[in-house]
Amino acid sequence: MKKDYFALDVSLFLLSAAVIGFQLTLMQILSIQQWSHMASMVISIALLGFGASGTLLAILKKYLLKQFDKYYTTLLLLSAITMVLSPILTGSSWLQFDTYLIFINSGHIFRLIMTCLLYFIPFVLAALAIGMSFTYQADRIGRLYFANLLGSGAGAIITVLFMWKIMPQHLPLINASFTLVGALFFYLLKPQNSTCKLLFTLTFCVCIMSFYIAPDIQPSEYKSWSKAIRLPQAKIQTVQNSPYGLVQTISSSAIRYAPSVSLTNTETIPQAGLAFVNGESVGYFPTDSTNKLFPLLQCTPVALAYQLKHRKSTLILQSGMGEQIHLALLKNSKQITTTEVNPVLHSLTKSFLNNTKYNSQILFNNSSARSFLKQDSTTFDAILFPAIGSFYGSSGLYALQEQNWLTIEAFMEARDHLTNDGILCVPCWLDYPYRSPLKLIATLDEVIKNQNIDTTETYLIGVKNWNQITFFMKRTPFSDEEISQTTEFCDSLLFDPLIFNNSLLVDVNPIHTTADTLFNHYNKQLTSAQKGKFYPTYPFRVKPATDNKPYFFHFLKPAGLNKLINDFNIAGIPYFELGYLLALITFLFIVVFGVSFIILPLKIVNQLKIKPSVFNYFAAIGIAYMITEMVLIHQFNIYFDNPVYAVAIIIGILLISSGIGSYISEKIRTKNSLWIAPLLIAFIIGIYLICLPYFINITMAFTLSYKIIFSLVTIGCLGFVMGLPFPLAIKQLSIENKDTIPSAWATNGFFSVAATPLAILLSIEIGFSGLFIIGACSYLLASFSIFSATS
Amino acid sequence: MKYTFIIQLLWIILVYGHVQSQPVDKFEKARKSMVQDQINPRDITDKATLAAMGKVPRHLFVPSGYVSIAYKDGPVPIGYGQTISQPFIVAYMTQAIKPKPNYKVLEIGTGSGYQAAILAEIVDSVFSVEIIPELGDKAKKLLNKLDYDNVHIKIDDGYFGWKEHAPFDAIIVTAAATYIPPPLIEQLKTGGYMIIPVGHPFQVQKLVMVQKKEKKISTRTMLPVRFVPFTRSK
Repeated sequence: MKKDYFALDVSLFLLSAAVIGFQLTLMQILSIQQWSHMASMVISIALLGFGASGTLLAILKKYLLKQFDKYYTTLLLLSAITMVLSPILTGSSWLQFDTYLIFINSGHIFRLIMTCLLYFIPFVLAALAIGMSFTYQADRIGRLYFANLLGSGAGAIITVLFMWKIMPQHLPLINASFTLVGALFFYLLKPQNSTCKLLFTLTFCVCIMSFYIAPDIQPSEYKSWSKAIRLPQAKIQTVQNSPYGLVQTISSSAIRYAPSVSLTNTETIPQAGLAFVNGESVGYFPTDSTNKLFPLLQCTPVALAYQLKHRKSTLILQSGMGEQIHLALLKNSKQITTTEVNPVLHSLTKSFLNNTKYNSQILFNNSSARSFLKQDSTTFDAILFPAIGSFYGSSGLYALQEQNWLTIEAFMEARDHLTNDGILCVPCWLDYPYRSPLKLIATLDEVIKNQNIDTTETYLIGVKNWNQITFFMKRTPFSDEEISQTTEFCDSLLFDPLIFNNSLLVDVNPIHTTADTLFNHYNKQLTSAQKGKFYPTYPFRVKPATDNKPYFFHFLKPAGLNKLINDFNIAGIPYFELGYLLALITFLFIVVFGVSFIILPLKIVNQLKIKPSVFNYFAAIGIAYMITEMVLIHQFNIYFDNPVYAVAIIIGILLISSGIGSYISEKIRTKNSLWIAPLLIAFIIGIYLICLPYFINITMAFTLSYKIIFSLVTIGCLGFVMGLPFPLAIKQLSIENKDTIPSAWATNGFFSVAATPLAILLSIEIGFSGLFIIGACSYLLASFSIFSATS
Repeated sequence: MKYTFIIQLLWIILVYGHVQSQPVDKFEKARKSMVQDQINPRDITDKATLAAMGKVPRHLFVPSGYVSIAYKDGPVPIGYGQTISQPFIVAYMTQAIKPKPNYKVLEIGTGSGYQAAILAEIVDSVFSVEIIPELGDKAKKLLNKLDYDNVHIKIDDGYFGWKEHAPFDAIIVTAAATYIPPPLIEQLKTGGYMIIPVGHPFQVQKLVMVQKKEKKISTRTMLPVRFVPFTRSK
């Protein structure tokens, strides 16, 4: 008997590791083929698979449980086969959808639905196997859930590590191998009939074949990579995969770099190479062997920072491929510090500058901008931000990505790193309708006013040219001499100065104008006391982003959508505000799928027989777990310096500690624990809501090992109790009414599915603290529903 | 059986009659509706531009597989990663340079040759540079066939313009760049206009109107668009 338990536990562990790993793999594949916001759809599809498996189990449990060993092994093998085949099929030319084309071509809606279905199959098969084991040995649910969560946590970490060495197209094979080994282990300890032998052979052959036939992941034809690869003499120079995405570089005679260069320039624009992450361009690098730097950067607005004064030390945030480093070097900055979170880009930049005489004066930091600002106390004469809206999403594409380096708090931290006469420089691409520059002006104005300074002085100036506006902010006011130097600089290079003080001073005859004359009018309103009234009246969201709502590139409002549809028709919308719309579509899509695959079939076969209190309980804990997980990932994102590892560490700790909680739940006998456990979680969340940001802040400067200990304690405690409610309730059901377990599993799955995209949409509206409160309230609801039913 | 035969006969007569009543240029109606529904309502009022858009047979400039959507409100792929721009954008750019009958215009990016044909209807001469030989040769043949003898096409790198025929009264660039090529500014007459899509070549760009004055160069940002990247050969 012990051998049987062990076989099931180990295979469940491996299957769970494969499932979570496959989720991460699909997220990376979709990030390359499409954009990262489509990747979040994978989480919902996976959970949908879990929900639907509950429905299938409710309908088929008699047959499945009768020959548990045989069906369990079969499901594991089928899930391994579909894991390797579904990415190959969905990546084929006749089935790969394009995010942009789904708005104008119904064929691509069909392709999207087919992709979702093909991704759904491996999850539903794997989840059916997991659900079967939970039902089959419901009396050991704590231990099984422990193996499931432990496997999930380990799977997340292992897959992230594999991403360093394995190309994305081969990652599904790694995930499938885990499932195959799990099946083999179960089979060897509990041999079944010859059908399984055949299936084993087939699975093995498919896995081997997939290694040879899996094609390279092709990015959308609308991605930078697809365009660049067609340029004359385009040559791929670097290809490296990592958890940060697939980095590729291209050189071509057609690639030139001179962004925002003055129109007075008559020099030839120098040739450059271009780097991409997941098919999106992230920066240029020089390919001219005689000139290692981009000399024309001296004719761009950013050069004003050095024109006003010699800057001995410069901090370059999010340095990308290091273009801003070139300017600092050309302007003789002696100590240059850079931050770049992507280690592959970081090492590429280092290698490009390695053979130059400049290398010794650059201090490269492989960390995120925000983590550096939080942890380092050095002050700098100049701090340069990357151009906002160029590579970081001018079109609302990244509306739902947290940009914690563009919040009010981030700019305040950056300002605190300036020397007394230091300057902060933020270039921003001019968009239309105006969004990014307006939000940036509002943010910087907020930062300045926060200093309690004399507002008649000038702390902010702008330099505008034909496609960019570059802002310069100081801790101390700009002197009259600096203002006149700015005007001279602008006159000589044909730029327009914008001087922000009590009233915005602009040239009456600007050199660079826009289609309407409202830009300066908006600027005036945003820097005046009237800005509170301006925000609700403007058709786009231009209120500054904060740490609680760190979505700088989310601009969409219903009024803005109407404006975009009127101005550019519906087909033009994806180019402007895709991110938010896709989250909304994903949510609706998932709810419709969830109802169709989970709730409706159960209703049809009359299997949705659980009591309202049990339904509420499983629904509430499903929503609450997902929401709490999301908030914790957000809270620890900056803390770990490295968002990818942060996600892996947090999910790992949370799942493993929840697994331990599940294991311990087996020893809990009292029925009251059903309502006490969620109440306790709600209480802990309440404490974390108040205290966690404070403790994170004071431990920010700790070394990594101490930070991990801190996370283990905080997340581990919460994760431990979060692991209790589900197995406790399943165990209770196994005593009271075992037949309803699959329905409870399906209910939990459905609400977990819906909670993921809903949480993203809610965080935009109410912020992460609001989301945390909703998580706590959901646990309270779970507690109350059981408490009222039992009493 | 008898009735079936009569119905079939009536159907053939109706269909045949409908086919017979089609105009010789069956795309004329589509072209007219393109001007009336897509271009005119979007503030394109220049009579010469509207007349040219209503005259040039756009369907001849698109690949055979796309003829049915030639007059639709969107760009059409023409191969080699290039597109023929949306009709409105072609009209918008044409109107923006304020074309006059005596103008000499430089076009960078011949592509299908459609923009050159529109310009040739209005101005004295059009000098067009295309980097992709296959596209340039195809456009040259088509424009010759359509008797546009005031269009001159050169296969070369558009970055350098066409120095031998400079200065130009106006320049139209139909490929996106992160910069405005200095040689083009040099080849523009004082007082002349250049319209160019600028911005990141792979994302949303803006049409920028550049005006060369006596001592300064000014720009006016018009509207967001998406163009293929500006390519250089060497």
